[in-house]
Amino acid sequence: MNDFFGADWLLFNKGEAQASVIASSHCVLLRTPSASFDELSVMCPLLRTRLDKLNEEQKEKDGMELKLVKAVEEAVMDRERKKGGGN
Amino acid sequence: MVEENAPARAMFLVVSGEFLRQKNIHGDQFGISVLEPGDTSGLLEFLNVGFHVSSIVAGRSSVVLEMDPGEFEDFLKSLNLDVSVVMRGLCTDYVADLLSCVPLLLDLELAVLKKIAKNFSMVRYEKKQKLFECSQLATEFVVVMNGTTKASTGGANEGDPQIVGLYSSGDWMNEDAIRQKRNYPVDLTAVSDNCMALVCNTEGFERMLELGGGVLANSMQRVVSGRLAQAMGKCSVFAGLSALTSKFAEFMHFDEVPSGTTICNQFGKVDGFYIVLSGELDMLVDSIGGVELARPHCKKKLKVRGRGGAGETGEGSKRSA
Repeated sequence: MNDFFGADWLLFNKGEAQASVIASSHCVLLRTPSASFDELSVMCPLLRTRLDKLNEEQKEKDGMELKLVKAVEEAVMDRERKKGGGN
Repeated sequence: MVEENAPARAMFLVVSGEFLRQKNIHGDQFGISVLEPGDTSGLLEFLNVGFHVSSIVAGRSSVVLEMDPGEFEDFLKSLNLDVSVVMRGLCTDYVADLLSCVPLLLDLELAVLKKIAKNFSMVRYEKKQKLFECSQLATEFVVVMNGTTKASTGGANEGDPQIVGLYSSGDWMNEDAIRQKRNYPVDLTAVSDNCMALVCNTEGFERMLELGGGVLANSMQRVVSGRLAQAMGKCSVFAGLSALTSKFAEFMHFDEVPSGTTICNQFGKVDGFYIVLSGELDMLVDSIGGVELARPHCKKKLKVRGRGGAGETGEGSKRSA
């Protein structure tokens, strides 16, 4: 399957990217300009429903991810503190 | 009488009856021309590529004279014919026959194909030889006519080259790159023996567009739309929405992005909806749900998932690897 990005940001965040996206290799992408995407998402309610559902799922994932990332950060800082104490 | 891929050791002059010349395109046999008394076959293959690019099937009561190509040259000279002129004519006719079974050019009339054929050359490639590299400006329109080639993201890019497709008989490449004066979209390497392509330069390609007119423009548009719809069908949100994918195809563009390019920054504007066709991108965040993170966190690797890897390269007709 082909991954995609930008749809939820255009629909639910007024076009504000919720992450930085950087190519880590030479990439070929298919791009639909923002205005055309807005127009097409209005034309297809089923697409909109799917994206609504994905957005809800993403919010839940974000909550869990944040907890995990914070836990990792604290563990890293803890280790650095201990290392510093050792010196 | 002659099998495709068999070594070209002699040439044939049809004495009586009829012979059908056939070409295998993606597993289907296309009848590309009928050879009648006086027609020859095999000379170009003997001189240019060393194997038969097409097969020849004999009709009832058909007779050929098998000749050594050198003997044929002497025969032409004995008739006071200019060998180079005869060869040019033979080459144009044969290339036109081969082009007639390329899906992109199927709707063109033979007279137009003959004019287009004048700009193409038959080129043989050895196994592992590169036809072109994505570090170079695209100057050649390539139609693979025999053997298999592998398209991969270039070694010049960071990371391991990724195979993005296999191109074989009837597949073509580089039309977008030439029109937009960009580099070749991929590295293309011969991966089988008996690899042969018909190649024309930028001027030849422009002449082909001119000669093909609206018929060729429509074919190209149809191919592009099909390609886009196919790529979108592999994207989970569009699964089953075929009517919508054809609408989207009108608005979509291929974007090629070198390694290291930032498509968007967190909290900056995103300028569209993107589908990844090949390569890999990192999705990084500095904060999640408004909570700042101590260091950027990679949320996700965006790529083409599943067996066989990437999808389109944005060019030609091809099968995924």
